[in-house]
Amino acid sequence: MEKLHLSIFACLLFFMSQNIYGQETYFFNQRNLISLHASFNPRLIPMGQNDNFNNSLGAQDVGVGRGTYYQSYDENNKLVYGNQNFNLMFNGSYKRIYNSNRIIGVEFNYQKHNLTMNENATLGYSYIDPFNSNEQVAIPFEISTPLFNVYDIQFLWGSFSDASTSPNKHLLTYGLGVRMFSLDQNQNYRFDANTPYTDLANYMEDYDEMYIYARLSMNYTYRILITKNLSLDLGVNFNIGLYQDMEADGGLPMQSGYYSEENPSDSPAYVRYFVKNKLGHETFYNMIYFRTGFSFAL
Amino acid sequence: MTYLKLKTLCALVFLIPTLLIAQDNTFNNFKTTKASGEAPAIFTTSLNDKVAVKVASNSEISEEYIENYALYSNYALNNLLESGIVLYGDPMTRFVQKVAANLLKNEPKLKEELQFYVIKTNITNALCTDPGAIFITTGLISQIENEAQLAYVIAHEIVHYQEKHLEKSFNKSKESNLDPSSSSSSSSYEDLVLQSKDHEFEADANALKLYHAAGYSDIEINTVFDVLMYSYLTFDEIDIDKSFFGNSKIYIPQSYFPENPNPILASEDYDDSKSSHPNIRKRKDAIAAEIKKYDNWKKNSSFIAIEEFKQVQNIARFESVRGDLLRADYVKALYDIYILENQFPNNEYLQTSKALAWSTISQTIIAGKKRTFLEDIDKKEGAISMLYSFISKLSYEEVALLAIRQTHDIYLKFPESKRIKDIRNETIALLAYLRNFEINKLESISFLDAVSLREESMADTASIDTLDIEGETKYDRIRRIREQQSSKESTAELIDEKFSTFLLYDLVANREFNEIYEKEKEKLKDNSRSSLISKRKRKKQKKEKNKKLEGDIILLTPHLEANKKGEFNLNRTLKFYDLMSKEIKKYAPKGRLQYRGIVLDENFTTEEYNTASLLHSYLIQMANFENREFKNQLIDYEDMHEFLEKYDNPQLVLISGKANKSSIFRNHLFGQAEYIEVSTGKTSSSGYYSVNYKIRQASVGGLVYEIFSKF
Repeated sequence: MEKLHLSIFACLLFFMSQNIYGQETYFFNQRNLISLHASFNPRLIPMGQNDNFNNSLGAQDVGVGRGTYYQSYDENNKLVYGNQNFNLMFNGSYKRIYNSNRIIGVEFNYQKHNLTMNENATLGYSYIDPFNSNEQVAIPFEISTPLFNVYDIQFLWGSFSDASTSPNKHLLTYGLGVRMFSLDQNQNYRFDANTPYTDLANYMEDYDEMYIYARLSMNYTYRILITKNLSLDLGVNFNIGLYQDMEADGGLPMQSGYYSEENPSDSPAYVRYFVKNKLGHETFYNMIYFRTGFSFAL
Repeated sequence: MTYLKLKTLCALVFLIPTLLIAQDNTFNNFKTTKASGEAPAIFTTSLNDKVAVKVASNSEISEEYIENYALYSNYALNNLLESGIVLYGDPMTRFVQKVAANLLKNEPKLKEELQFYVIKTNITNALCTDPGAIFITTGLISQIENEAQLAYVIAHEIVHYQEKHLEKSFNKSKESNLDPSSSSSSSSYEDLVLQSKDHEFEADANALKLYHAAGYSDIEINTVFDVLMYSYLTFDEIDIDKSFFGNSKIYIPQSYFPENPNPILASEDYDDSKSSHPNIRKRKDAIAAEIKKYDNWKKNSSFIAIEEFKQVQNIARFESVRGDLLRADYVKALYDIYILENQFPNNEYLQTSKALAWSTISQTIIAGKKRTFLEDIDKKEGAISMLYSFISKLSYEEVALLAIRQTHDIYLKFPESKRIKDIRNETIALLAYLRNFEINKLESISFLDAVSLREESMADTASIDTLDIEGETKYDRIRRIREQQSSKESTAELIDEKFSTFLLYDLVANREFNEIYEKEKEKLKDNSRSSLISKRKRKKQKKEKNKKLEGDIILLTPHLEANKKGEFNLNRTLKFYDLMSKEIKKYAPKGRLQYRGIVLDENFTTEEYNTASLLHSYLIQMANFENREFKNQLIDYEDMHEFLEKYDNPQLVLISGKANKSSIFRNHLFGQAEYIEVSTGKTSSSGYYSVNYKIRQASVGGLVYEIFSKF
């Protein structure tokens, strides 16, 4: 994180230093841009893996464990399955124009994301009890998968097309910032239909701590002017996480020995290192967002 | 009151205003011609009304295209009228109208339809526009020799109108656009040129009818073609001799002049294949045959008093001098003045113009921009080529000193004139800008005096035979003395190359002269010292650069143009203008927009028109002026000063804008404004505005917003 801060700071300094003397022209002298956008991300790669479960491991047709699969309990505590094939993200940003066509700004994003269950955790999967090699342990993986609130804070820099007075039609920005996953604690998380998690500590290790990743994005926005201040924006956002380890260790979300009915709280259903790697792995594929929304220039 | 008294009174009432606007015969206080009296209808009718009139009229153009034609032809006419160079109600226009009235005395219908105006430009031309407005240039009036020649040119233009040549050309161009057989654009272009030539022959021939009926002489017709052929030369051709420099004491070496002027090469039989007009030889041949068809040629070369023609011609020639200066053609100005000096010796206007020309020549050359007015010297023809060649040969120092000599001589002739004095002082100040110039090396004796002194001293000290050699000219003597000098190793050599150091013999000891020089030198030193400036100062300078402009806003008619796929599109251009004027109302600072240029509608006034005309001239001069600040160089000095007094530090705003639509998706609109502080000539410009939007409120508004954000 320290390195990240340093690099953001260095970038800021660099771009501020580019402010040279000279007469600058802006469209109606607009130098501040406030945008509200909605972004839509079809999760094409995970979607392609939806049916790609391992039959030899006894997985059933619901596509457990791969692609965009998740499960949760409804109001009647009934286990429901779903596929999160799309992400819908809301963006708000403030940008300041300097040096004729350069942009510097900050962007806030919000979206919800369901963690896909471990791809090996197929329904009805069983394994040999490590404490008693004569017994097969069946895992009826009925625990709700976690739902995350995802917040991004990014610094933006970039430029409008230099072919015409800014702000103009074509805006290209780069963003560098953090993506933070925080567990949505208001969900009906249950061990199974009969056992709710009364203490989320049993559900997820350090459940109230955020998962933070560095993230780099590139955005192209095409602005269609409606009035002199308001524009309808269409854009593409390409973003990649700067992660290191993305392989969920051990193949299971829980620590060994988790399956102890007597004392489930000893070992939470989702351990931190697993969630972190899994989140990193699957959101790595959420690369292309299509955006639309409005910008207000002042 | 008796009838007689009444008559006299009426005559007086009529005469007084005419006298007030007429130039006096001496031309001493010449001021450029202005429009006067009530504005003619073409100035007070809006474009839409003009188009409506044309559409409703009988014409040879099919209904499909009539509106398009009416729009384009009237837009072109409006552009000409808005340029501020068209005159009405002035002596020249009145004269042209009289000549036209004489030609049209038997054609009452035509007389009613046609209008005649004079355009202030040095180009020799006449043109006919669709609504029957015929324009004659001051350049043409300055060149022709008599009324009959003018009558023939006017008759020629009348025929263009009578035969509806413009409409025919338009129809032809539409036909060739539609005709699939003429696929190549070049062939249709050639068709058009051919047709245009037919029109010219027709106009030449039919003009004879009016011309003959009016009773003018056939001899003048051929001369008209000569006037046209030689129109690129000045309005007269006289040799340049010693009197050019107007001071018998100064010595200009003959070696600085070429031996002979370049020959005049104009030919009657030039290649006219790409020209809209046939060449002069063909026109002369054709007209000679036509002249024979008429008999009873009268011998009149004028019906109106010759004095009036002379007066009008002189006005045109004075305008020509002014035009030369405006367009930075200083050498031509000097030559025109030289020609006019014969007729108007000691004319204050001419002498002021001469001082101005020399002063600006000196400024321009010292600024290193010699090429702006001394280009293509080899291509200059006639006596004026001597002058071009001479000035281009002078070094910076020689020009500076000669210019001081000239302006000072003029000042001595008119010591009362503050303006001439100012011009002289500025010319002196220019010396400070010369590198490696030492004021001490100027001689306090004229070259010729030095020669005779040297001669005397040699006679005293050495036993040289100084007896006058028979037949020896002054220059032979100089040459002989120089030879003697070189053998005697004299300290101050009297050689041609040093002629300039002797030019200011009478000024060297003059206190005022030295003070002006020293003061400017000090100023320069201060400036160069401040070139090494601190960061704080640089910031201050930047702040100053972004400082808002103060004073009244004088907005000139914007120059806007809209294209569609690279071709001019009038409807979009008009939309551009329309939006521009709406947005100007919205964004112009309240109470500071004092003048809005010429608008051709019912609110048009002659006074505003003359202001616009004055400012247009100012801009032309600005555009051609290469030097430092504008001070005494203003051509219309008094009119400009009146203007400056009327407004509070007026700032001219000159807007230019262009829009192009290259496809449905690709639009581009760009523009910029220039701001000129009239009092100093200091210019600055708005930011360059360019957007990828079509012509709409937001895109045009952005441009206007940008332009007025400077205030």
